[in-house]
Amino acid sequence: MNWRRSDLPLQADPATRFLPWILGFLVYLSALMIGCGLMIEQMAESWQAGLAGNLTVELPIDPGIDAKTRGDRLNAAIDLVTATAGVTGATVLEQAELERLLRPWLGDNVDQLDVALPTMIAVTTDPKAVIDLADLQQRLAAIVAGSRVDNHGDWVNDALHFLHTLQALAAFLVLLVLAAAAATVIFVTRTGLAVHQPVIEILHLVGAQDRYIARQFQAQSFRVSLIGGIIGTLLALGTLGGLAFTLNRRGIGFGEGAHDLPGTAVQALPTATDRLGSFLVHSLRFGIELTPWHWLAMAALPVMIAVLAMLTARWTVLRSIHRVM
Amino acid sequence: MVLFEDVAVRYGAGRNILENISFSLAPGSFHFLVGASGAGKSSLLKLMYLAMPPAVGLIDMFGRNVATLRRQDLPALRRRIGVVFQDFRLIQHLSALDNVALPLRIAGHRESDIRKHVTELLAWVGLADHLQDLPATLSGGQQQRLAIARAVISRPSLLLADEPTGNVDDGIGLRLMYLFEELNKMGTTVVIATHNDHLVSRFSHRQLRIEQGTVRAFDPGVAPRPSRPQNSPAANDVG
Repeated sequence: MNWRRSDLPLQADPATRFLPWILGFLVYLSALMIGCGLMIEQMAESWQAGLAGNLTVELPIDPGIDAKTRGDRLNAAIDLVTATAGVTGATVLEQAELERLLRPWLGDNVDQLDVALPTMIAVTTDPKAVIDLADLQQRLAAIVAGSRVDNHGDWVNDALHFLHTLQALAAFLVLLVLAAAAATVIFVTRTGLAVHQPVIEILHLVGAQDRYIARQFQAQSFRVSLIGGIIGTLLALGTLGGLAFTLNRRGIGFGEGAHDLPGTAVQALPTATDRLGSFLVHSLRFGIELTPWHWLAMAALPVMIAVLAMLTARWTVLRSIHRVM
Repeated sequence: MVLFEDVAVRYGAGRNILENISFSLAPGSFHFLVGASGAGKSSLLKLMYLAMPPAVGLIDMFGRNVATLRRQDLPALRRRIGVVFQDFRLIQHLSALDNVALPLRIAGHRESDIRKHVTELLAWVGLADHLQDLPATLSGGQQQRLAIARAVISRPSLLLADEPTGNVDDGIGLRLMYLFEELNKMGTTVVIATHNDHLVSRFSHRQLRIEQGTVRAFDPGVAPRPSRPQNSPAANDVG
């Protein structure tokens, strides 16, 4: 059978004329959600990679000791940390740097607030090294009472859990959209069967099998779905590209130095909720890069939707045609 | 070729419009189906081209009991039957050539063969200059010739025609009858439903006459026989 020839005037149907636009819109939504899912995946990997090999040591200020003793204890703490196996560097955050990091939460007058900010040490480690954080914290506490060592694991886990939830939601929405696309094709096909019943009857009387009729609906559904799918995918890629560009411009650099560690500043916030929210808002730089596999997946989307539409149309015709003839 | 035994025709839950229909058609035979307007000629033809099942009775087409056929078996039988409908039933958005080519395309013939045969046949019925015209642009007589061409293009085993000369002049009507006779000589069984007595008398073939809700058969030139018990197919053998 010549797939380009149709005995049924399906392309003239009003429902068929709208089908590429409806499916294009659904593909646009699907592609956006798939793209966002890929971006979330990369974001999660970036966060995990960025925080790997970083610790924060917090030394509380004891107002009852003089500055010299405070300085000696700080140096002892730094010596202890740098002597620990797996540690590659330790930098004390200057007061000015600390105030700059806290300014978004505490306001521009943070330097005039009567708040005793702890001394923060940004520690870099070998990502493959296994450091006993409890032991390190215990030994630090012997030098400066109340000191803490944090690898930001709790926040990262909370953030990753949130991201994975978003990914699952995106996947669910993609399935819903595909179901809506199938339902649309079913409706259009059934309408076509009813509208063209006289011609279908003639085809049957001249000896056409049901699958001969089905092939015509299949071919039409494949054609219009492919067109709509290509349009929807291209628009979605444009939207995702613009989103990535905007986020990249607004993102805060990560891994350029301890001073840029948002987690360091976040540690100073009063509650865990504030810390998580701030971590997300002032998020890391979005180095979004679509791999060749990602591009292949996006390019395959119009073909997948066209195949789905074609199979749905065939199934609908073969199930419903006995009511027509 | 075709056997009807005690067949009745009914639409929906109404009364039978035809009943006790029993006759058989031998391969290569030629018949006129005659009767007054509204007698049931078109309904009887519908049974023959498998557009509807009988209310009761046995219909045997080409050695197959129609009642036992599955849906997917019907197209193969229908391809052996050419039908000229009273209302033509041409597909309006297809050209004359594509309308006539339809049975061959459905049967899977090669496109090059299709074009050649269709063009020749359309030329024979006088439509050589209208290959790409749509049916709506043709006259009633031209549409009728187009419908006949579509019915005969695949050299069917059984040709059923419902008033095929109703919309053409006598000259074209005679030409069409000669076409039907040529097909009959080549082995096609022909049944023509008509109320044209002149045609029936000019071409003396066997008649299936619908009277009083049933079918009776007559040989040409023989006076109508008195009615006999209708349960015997032998009473109406026209083979």
